[in-house]
Amino acid sequence: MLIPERNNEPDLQAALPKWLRGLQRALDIVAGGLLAVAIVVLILVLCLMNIEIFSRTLFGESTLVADEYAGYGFALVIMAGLTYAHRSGALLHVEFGRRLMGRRTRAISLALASVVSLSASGFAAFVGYKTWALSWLFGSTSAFSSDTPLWIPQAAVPIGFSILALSFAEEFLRRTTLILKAA
Amino acid sequence: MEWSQTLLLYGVLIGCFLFGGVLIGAAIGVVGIVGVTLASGTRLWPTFGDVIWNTATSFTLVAIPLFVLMGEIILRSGLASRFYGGVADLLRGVPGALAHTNIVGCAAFSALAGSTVATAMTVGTVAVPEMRRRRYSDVLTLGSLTGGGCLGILIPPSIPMIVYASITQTSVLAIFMAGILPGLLLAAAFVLYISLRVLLQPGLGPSGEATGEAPRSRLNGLRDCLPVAVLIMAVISSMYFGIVTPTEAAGFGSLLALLLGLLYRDLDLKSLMLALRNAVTTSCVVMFITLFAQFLSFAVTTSGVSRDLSVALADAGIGPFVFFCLLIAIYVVIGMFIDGLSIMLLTVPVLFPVFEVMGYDAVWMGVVLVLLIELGALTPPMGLNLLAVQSISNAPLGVIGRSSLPYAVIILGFCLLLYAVPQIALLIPELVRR
Repeated sequence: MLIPERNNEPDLQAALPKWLRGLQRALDIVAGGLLAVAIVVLILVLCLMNIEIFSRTLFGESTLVADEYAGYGFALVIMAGLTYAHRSGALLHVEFGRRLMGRRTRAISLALASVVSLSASGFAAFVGYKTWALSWLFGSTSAFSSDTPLWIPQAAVPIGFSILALSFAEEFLRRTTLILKAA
Repeated sequence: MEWSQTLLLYGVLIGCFLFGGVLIGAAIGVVGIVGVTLASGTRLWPTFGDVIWNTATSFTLVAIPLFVLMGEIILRSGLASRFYGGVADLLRGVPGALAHTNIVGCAAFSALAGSTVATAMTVGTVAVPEMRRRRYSDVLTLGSLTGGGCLGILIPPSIPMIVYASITQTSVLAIFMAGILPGLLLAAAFVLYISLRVLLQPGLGPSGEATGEAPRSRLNGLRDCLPVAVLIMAVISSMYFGIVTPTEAAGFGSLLALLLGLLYRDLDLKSLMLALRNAVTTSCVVMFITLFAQFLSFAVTTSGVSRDLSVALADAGIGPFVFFCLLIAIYVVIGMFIDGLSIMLLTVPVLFPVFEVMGYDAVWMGVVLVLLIELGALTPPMGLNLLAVQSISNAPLGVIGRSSLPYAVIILGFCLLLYAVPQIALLIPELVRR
């Protein structure tokens, strides 16, 4: 159920080399696994929010960590869910230009589009790693009372964007292979 | 580089990327990276990491997955269709009853869903087959769905409002409260339009509401409306009275929706899993654009484009009303091609300083922008509401577009009314502040 539902166009799938189909399948499984992680974390954020509300309203006591940990949880939900969102075709694009293009032009354009997406997510993974590395190096902790070492939650950013970049790379390879096969 | 050249470069690059089918978030992100690099080389690159981290952990934005989850649970548990049936029972006998039900249903569901498409799809899935069965004209059915769906992001909670508040550092609570009165007035305007239309063209609806089925009592209708009404009141009043923050209200609303779904025995494990999956996916879709929009915002700040644009507009002697009209034109045109949230994320970083120079209130502007992106959701060829309703009705896009036109005109008129009487939006936030 958690494997991305994608129109894999079976006739085109057969044209792909075995290793690329393997990579595609592996990324689908990773995306599904990460989605399961995102769902669990979302449930935990939901519980945390309600524990905070009830403890504050009924007992006049705050957990003091709800805002902070809900933020970390949200970051984890997003980083874990991005690859699934990409592989299930949910991320938004503008359809107008694609409709005006011929089949071959569209195929080339979409291959180039995946390079742009790869660049953006690759860059985000790089700068996310830089931030994580600085926090690790200086032992930075959060500004909240929990003093959470920031490198722990920040690890989600480079990991999440790296896997997303890999997914875009696979998309580029798949589209390029199909263009070359058709030529 | 001159600010106008920089702005032109941003526009051309984004336009080319979007036309070529690049994902909206990636297109905005790459332009942001290019913009910062042109302005200050690679010196500021490490700051991008902080930009991502601060946005991804924003407590304000945590409300997004929780509000989406609340709407999804209501949808999947069948409480939405139960509510629709209840309103239909209550309005039985009124000419064009089901078209009015669509508007009321959309207004109520929009207080739970936070998205125009989700609102139009949820109500439409129940309404289209039912209205066709009762021989309503498609013009009335489709228009009331696309128009009513627009209420989805105006009546709180609203995802674009949360994102706007996050990028402009405005209070989410104030913007949520500011959306209530305009949302209700707009719904009333739609109801008024439908009443007039049915009065002038009685052929658009069935002569009676006879369906061959024994009509259910209005008491049954009230009973079916109760769970959704309780949920809406609990979420909005808990925010209004300051018991919870908007993000906490989202968590509280999700829990309440879950309990109601279980209480009515309409929610099974499969539906809950689907709701959770959709909540994660929708949040990722929104955040993929929001995170990279912060790159563009950073580039705009670094290059000083928005500051110079504000100065240029002030020097050109463009007054607030002329700028307001220009803004409407820009949003209508861009809205024909790009979804509302993306337009907001593309334009607000550049234009927000200009809004301040023009003397616009930030909270009021949030409501106006939401209205303008609603307008975009109704304009072909890429109006999201049109496409959503097409997917559930299989009607030609032209028919849906023509049916939606009167609602677009009403929204446009309402924008001008909001400009003339800003208190429509600002009254409730002021009451909350007191």
